[in-house]
Amino acid sequence: MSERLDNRLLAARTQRGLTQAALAELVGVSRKTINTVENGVFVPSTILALKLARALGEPVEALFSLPSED
Amino acid sequence: MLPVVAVAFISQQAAFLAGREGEAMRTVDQVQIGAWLLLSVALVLALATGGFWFRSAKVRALMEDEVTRANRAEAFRIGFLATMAGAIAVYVLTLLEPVTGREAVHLLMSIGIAAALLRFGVLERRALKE
Amino acid sequence: MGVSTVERADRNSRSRGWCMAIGAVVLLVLSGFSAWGIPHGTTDLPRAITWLVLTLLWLGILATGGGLMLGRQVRRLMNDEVSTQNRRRALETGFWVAMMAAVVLYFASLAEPIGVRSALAMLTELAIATSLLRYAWLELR
Repeated sequence: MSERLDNRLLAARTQRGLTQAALAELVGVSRKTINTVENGVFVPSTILALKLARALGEPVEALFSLPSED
Repeated sequence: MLPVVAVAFISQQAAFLAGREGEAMRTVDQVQIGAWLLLSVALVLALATGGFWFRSAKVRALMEDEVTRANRAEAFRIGFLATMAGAIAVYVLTLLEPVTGREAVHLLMSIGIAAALLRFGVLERRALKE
Repeated sequence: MGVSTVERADRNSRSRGWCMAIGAVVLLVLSGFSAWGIPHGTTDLPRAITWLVLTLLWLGILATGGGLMLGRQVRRLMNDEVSTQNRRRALETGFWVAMMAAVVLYFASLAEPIGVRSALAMLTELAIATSLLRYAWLELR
């Protein structure tokens, strides 16, 4: 069972002209967390994923998705 | 099952540590130590891998879900802290009563493994309760 | 312009990581002393106190993430999801090292008697040092 999560967090963040630090401030986490989620190193909890989606004004499914099962 | 195993493990250690005060090691002691070591290794490996090594890969994969992995991580955290707390306690105890290095190490291993097993068992049981 | 809370947390996280790496090296050196240099004597009070203080200090930091003097907001950011997960992984590494060190010490003591305090010091110093190193590595990478 795949434990990876695809995300377009970087694209969504840069689209809104936000730095990692600015997004971290909005969500209430460290910049490191934003960085590791963007790089796919860290899989966010449901709560964090929802907070990121809310901060970026997008549905959570638009930000995070399961890898396709090809 | 793991909490029961942990309690049995602790009881066995208590019986072993209670009775030896500086006596020369007999063959039966060596066998007992060997058995303790094997049991310790088996328990830690079971905790680390999820055990049930003779079940199918599919079943084992289902048993190894997110919750179990989180519970295991928490168990190792408790095991580590318990071992360290045990070390401090034994260090202080040596001021009051002679303890050999080997006995101390034996005790710490037992404390660490038992604490990890108990914590894991409790968390898994809690997760299964409706 | 003032430094934001996120930036402060960032800097303090990095400092924490470096402090842990240095702390780990110190503990490994002390462990080396116990193993090959000066064993812990029964009347060596300064050494006992040093060991106890260092052990409690680093254990406290490993258990809580430290930074008690930094204010709640900064601490919350320094100990967010990623950091908490890193700390858990570090403690797991510490557990394994403690168990392996215990096995090695047990068998070593069959060949040559090891003083109880030296054994305890070596085990705790090795386990805490590797925990700190792992935490530092995960936080700083």
